[in-house]
Amino acid sequence: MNVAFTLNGRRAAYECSADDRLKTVLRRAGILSLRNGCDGEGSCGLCAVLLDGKLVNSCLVLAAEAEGREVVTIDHYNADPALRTIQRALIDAACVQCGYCTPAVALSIRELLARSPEPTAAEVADALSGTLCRCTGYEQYFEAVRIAAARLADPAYAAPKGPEFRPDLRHVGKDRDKVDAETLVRGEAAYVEDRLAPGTCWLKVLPSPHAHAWIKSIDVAAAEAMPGVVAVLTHENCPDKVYTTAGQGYPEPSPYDQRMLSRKVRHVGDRVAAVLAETPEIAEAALSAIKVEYEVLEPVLSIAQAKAPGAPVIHSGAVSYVAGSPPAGTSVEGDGRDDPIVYQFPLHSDPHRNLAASATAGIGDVEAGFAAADLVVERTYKMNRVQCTPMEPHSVLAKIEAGRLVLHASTQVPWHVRRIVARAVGIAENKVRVIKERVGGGFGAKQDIVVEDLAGYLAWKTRRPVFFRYTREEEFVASRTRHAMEITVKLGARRDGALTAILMRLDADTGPYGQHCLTVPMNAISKSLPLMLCENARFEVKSYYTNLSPAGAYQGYGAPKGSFALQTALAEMAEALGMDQLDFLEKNRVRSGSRIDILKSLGEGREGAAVTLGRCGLGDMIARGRQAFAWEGGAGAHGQSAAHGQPAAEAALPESAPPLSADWKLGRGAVIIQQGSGLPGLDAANAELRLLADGTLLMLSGGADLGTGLDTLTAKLAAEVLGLDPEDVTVISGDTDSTPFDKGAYASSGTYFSGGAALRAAEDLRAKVIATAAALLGEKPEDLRIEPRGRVVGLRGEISLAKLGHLSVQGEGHGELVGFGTFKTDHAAFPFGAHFVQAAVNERTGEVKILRYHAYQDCGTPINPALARGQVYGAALKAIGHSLYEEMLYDERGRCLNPRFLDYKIPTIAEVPPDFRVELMPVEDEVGPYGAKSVSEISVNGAAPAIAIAIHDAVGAWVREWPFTPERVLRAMGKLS
Amino acid sequence: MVNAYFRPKSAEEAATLLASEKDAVLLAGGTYLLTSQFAKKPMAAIAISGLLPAAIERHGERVIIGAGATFQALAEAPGMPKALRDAALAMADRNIRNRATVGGNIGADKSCASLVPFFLVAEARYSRVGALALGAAEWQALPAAERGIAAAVEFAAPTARRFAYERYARTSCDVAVLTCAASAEFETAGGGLAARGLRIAMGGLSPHARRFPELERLFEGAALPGKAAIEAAAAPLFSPVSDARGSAEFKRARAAALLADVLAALANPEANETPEARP
Repeated sequence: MNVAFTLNGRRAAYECSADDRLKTVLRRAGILSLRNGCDGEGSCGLCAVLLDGKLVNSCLVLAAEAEGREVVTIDHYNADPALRTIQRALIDAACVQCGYCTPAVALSIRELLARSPEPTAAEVADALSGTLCRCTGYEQYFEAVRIAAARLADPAYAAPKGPEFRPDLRHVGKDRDKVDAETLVRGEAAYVEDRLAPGTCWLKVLPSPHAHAWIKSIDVAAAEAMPGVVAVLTHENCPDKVYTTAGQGYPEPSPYDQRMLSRKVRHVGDRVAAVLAETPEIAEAALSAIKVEYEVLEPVLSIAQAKAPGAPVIHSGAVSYVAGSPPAGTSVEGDGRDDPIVYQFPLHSDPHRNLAASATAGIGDVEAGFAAADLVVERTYKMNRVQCTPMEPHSVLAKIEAGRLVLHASTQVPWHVRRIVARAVGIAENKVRVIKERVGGGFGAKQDIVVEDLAGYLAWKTRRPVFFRYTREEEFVASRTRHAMEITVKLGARRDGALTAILMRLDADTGPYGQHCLTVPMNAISKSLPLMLCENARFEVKSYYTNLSPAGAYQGYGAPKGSFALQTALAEMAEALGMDQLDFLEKNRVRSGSRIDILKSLGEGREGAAVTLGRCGLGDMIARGRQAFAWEGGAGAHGQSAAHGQPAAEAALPESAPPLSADWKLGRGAVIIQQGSGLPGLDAANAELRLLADGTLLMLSGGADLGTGLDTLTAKLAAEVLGLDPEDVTVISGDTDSTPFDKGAYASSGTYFSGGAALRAAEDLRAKVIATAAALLGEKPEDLRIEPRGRVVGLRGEISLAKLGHLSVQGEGHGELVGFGTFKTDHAAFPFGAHFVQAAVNERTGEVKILRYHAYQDCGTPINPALARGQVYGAALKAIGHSLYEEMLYDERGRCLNPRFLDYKIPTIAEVPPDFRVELMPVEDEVGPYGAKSVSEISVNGAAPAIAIAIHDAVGAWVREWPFTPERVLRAMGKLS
Repeated sequence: MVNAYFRPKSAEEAATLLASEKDAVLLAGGTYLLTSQFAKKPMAAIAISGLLPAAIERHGERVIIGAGATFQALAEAPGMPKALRDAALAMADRNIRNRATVGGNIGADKSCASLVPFFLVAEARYSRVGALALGAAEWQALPAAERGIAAAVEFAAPTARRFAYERYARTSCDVAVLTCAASAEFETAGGGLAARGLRIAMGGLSPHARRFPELERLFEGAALPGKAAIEAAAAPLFSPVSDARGSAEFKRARAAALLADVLAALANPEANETPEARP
């Protein structure tokens, strides 16, 4: 049928089917700003348009329903002064992170301000209630609306500046525009899905309906015979090799236990077959035509089942080691049927008993420590699976250009993608190019090679362009999730509160494959235990295979779970001792100059070493939180706060807190947290900086910006060193052909490693500029300095970077001026933080509301403070979601029961705490760029323990399993059986 | 999947199509029918947006709401009982409220339909296209194929009658797990306020929201007891099922608490206010 309507002020007519949604038709018409986070469920709001002036989700509007109506997208408003003001305000308030939701947010604010020029916070929340954002934590949207409203009323309005740092520097420590913000806020082409050309084929995967089964037979003849089907791939015709999908440095500490397609399926949603077809509809039809006969096996659906004697074996192939030998007593002989497992080096595994990896170490003598204790507390904590839920699912476009495989990928690890795909396809790395596009959220899930191997192989095999994008359901069941874990913490302490021993026993569920099977659980230990000073400490880590969804990297990388278990156990010990929990933390925490011996046992893939801490800002951060929360005032009889269990109705609550009845009791909690800044001694990053002919700069950074602002950071560092402004620097990043190697965006390494490389490249270029200018000016290099903007000034004369740049490309000149920087270090830089929570708990219903959340955060020098705060807000709200709402649920057959946003609830803007505050309290690092450390990941570590402690403070019950659903709170309170 | 699309010129024509077309469904706002969960269900969509009244009117005690009114319009409409506005705002996602219609909510009649519990306790009547009006409960009792097209909702909101509405959802923008609406008049009796003509409807405990006469009898004619007593009396009368959103045991306790909260709100004289403020 033909549908005619007004699109962005112009009459337009489109051919469409009865089932076509308005979103589909608009995307076909080239409106790229409409994004897709929920596959037409209407739950993400990223495809919002104005339909006759009302904000609606275009995926829930039949195209035919638009007949005769007026449709407006953000593309129309790109020329509209009011919207430009809103877009500018979003940039100024540092709201643009991955940018995938930003056009929808901008449109929502445009609609809001049109009907309410001075909106209240409640109106802002209502206007954005239909838009999901996983990056920002929403808090800065309120500021953006304030700025936009003020500027619309008074174009001369100047927004107040945020906190600034390092007054000795021009750009570092000050807020500058994010370099990609303009493109993203306008909804322009930026993501993989925007790169599709006519003729691109679609790849779809037949998912396993069984958690554990052999494929007895598979018949693809009918599928292959369908017109428009390009290729069908099964375990019978795919490459016969195993690899790991973990995007880690090579050799990876993850077993090679996954084949592109296997004759054994190990989780519901596992790959059974892949179809490449000319349209998605044909691909779907072909999948339906594939006949599969399964031999269904008993599934392993929990850690307890995995380690039970006689448990079903998930991997029964032959086990081999590239280096080292199998642990004594383990089985290595395969059953002749299953795929082999190859370890690059021993991980203390026993895969035929479902043990993927293990580690045990410690310092001192914990048994002696417990014997010396006046009090011993032992508690077990459980953390269920949560999903990363980037708004843009995994996505890749693979094509052949000049005989090479080119992957446009939404990835955190371009170089690991190149290496692993090359291996999977069976070609050399020089035949593969990976171009990282803008990434619509990664959060760790895109550290793995989840879609690129299959798409790359089929593109190589068929020579056709291949687009492979996960559905939201696939993102849940076949992407990567946070490992489920059970951690038992045993603490010994003397009556005076001094810890005498800490024992952490951790069991992790790595799912059907072993990517990150050891490193994630180890990070739960290595980012929690070193916070506490104790002479006797020990950990035992075991990681088990199960038939649930694959686990992997997720922001925090295990640390949130270790933090939840240890910090909550410490609070439980404080209660047992009758001490204030914060006083107990203070007595035992690390401080400036502490020697952290446990790090001898926590070398990340190499021999560890004790570290003597430099300056530690934890004391200042705790003091700040104490003051803001009026913590002093005397502890209750059992270590509770003075306000323990106070009815919310009688208390002074944050201004925008909802009215709460006497059923709601108040409680507070505080925790200290830490993370690392990359992997010292293991990883490396590189950057190249070129002086262009007009004196501007081209930064070639290997770093992978996931929306975190890494490209902005590298631009600022270059501008700072060369006396220019960030807009004088163009950043090309994450392209394996044109930029130098970088380990990728993981392990909190972006600022420290990629930024460090960029800084060194800039310093290298500065040295070359000075040397060249010195020769031209006839002065000594040591007498020259670079001044804004781009002037090399000597004692007698000066020359501009523009002049030097011009000369560098002339025949009589000095050759191109290029700086190169490599960053690697053995120095461990720890960011620390203190997070404080005030929660209200309904003692009748078990519901929990977070009223106040303060994050006091040390990230060293914040290179771009507002973006850094945005990282913290986003991480903290994510962690609130994990703590209160989010949980992947499975039935008795291993099927995920809630693989969509209607059922799996991530926080919306309505869940933002009424008093949500981030304060950066920097302690400069001696190695990081201008004293910077990492900022993002650490902030997911605080919410779970702080909220658990606050719940206990409010209602006297310890909830030891996350998420703290109302049902679990009531059970902990003894109100349910 | 929408296999065929019809845009009738009148509500009567829509009714004829509904009776004659295979796999016919009425398409109002589309916020339920067009979601991906129905992607594989063949549907002949009969578009009724614009064909049904959308006005929201109050004439003294009588309230008339066109089936074509959106949730957002209902939330913004002046003069509506606070409880009805609460029910409309229970759909907390503005993008959805801008499309979802009153008629769609009645037609879908889901277990946790936001508005239906209110209409049940208001003893609303649904006028229909080309057919006699039906009470809200009568409408539910009919097989879906025989209901026809609801054109408008009409109910009485006398000053003396109070309404209250609450829901339980996991997050603000979640589909409700449980809903509860209640309505009563109050009179002084025995030194307290006694509920007269008490009506209680709940969603989430059965395939469709429904009245609970057994609960109404428990609390009719006497001063409402405290929350704990209400919970203790009500909980045994609920038979929820376990699912991904909670165990039966939890839902039973939560439903009892929800009811207690709603009855407590009902006893509050402010329950019947009709706020003018927009959300």
